[in-house]
Amino acid sequence: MPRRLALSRNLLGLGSGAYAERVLGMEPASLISYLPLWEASGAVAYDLSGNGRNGASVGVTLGEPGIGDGRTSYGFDGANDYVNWYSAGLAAAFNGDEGTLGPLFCKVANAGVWTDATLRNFVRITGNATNAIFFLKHSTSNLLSLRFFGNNITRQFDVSGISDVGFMALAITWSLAANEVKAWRNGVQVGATAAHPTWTASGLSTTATAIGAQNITPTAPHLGNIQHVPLRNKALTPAQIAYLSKP
Amino acid sequence: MSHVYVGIEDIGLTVSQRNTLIEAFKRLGPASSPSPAKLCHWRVRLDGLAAIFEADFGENEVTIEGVKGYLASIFGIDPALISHSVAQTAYGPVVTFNRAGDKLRLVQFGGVSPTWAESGDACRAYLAANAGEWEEN
Repeated sequence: MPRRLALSRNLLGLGSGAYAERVLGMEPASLISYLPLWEASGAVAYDLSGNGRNGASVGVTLGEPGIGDGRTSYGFDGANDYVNWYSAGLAAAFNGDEGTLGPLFCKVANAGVWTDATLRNFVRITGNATNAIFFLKHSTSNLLSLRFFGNNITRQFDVSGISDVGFMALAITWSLAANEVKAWRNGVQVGATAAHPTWTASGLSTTATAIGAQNITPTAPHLGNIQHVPLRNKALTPAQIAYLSKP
Repeated sequence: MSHVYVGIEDIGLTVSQRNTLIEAFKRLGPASSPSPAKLCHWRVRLDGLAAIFEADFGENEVTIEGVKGYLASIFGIDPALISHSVAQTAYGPVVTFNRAGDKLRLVQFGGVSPTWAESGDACRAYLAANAGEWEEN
C-alpha cells in the first residue's frame, strides 16, 4: 500500500469492512480521486485515494445521515452549496478516454424536489463547453439524467417517472478502446450502450468541476445529500459497478 | 440576526460601489467555523447585479443601520443621509436604501427573525420563482 494512502486512511479512521474499503479495494490503481464526503468538520473534502486531490466544501451541512455504512453524508441546500472538486492535479489526471464516475450515492431532500421544476446537478466534470460528464435531476418532473457530453455530442441516459427519496447509486463508465459509454443506476444499466463520442477537451474547467451544483457560481444546485464520489481512469465492469452500488 | 439567507440587489450603484459592497458582505459571519454552512458563502445572479449570502451572521452585521454604514462608507457620507423604506414580500421584508435615488435592495429571506430552515425555504422559493434570472439554460 502506498504510504500516502495508508496515512490518509489512518487519519480518517477508516475501519475494516467499511463501504469505502470496497471502493479502495476495487482496481485501486484506477482511482484518480475519491471523496467520501463524510467529514464531521472543516471545509476540506478529503480525497481518500491517496492522491491528495481534495475538494473545497462550500456551505454544505456536514454530518447528515449517510447510506448506512456507519458514516455521514454532505447535505446540500439547493441554494448556494457545492464542493469544488477542481485541482490542477485532478485536471492532469482526468482521462476522457477511459474512466468511471461513481457509483456515487445521492438522494433528494424530499419527494417534492422531483417536481420542483428546477434543474439540479448532483455532480459535473467539465472539460470545456463541448465536453462534460454530469448527473442531474431535470426540470422536467421526475426525470433523472446521466450524460456524457464529448466532442459536442451528447450521450444521454434518462430515467423517467422517478420519485425515489432514498439514496441512489449512480455511475457512468466510458471506454474509447471499447467504443462505449454506459450509465448505471443502483447497479443496473440505464438505457442502451452508446458509442464513445471522443473527449476533445484538455484538462478540466476550474469553475465547473463540482459536486452538488453545475459550477461554483453555483447554478443548478442540488437539494439533498451526496456521499462517496469516486473518479477513475478505467471503465469498471458491470459486475464491479453492481458490487459497488450496494452500501 | 443568526444563521439566515439575505439577498442584495444593486438598483443604482456604480460597478465599483457594487463590488466594494459585495466584498464587504463576503467578509461577514464567523471568521472560522467547523461547519461550512455557517461560514459566509454566496451566489451571484447571472447578471451580476444581485447576490444571496448565507452565514451565521453576527448580531449587528446585517441590519438596516449596519447596511447604511456600509453604504455611507462607500459613498463617503454620513449614514444619516441615507434613507430607507420597508416592504413586505412573500419571501421576507425588503428594505430599499435611498441616497439621491434608490441604490440598494436588501431582503432577509423568511421574515424578521426566521429560523435557518425558514430562511432557506423562503430563499429556495424565491430562486424557483425567479429561475430565469438565476439559472442558466
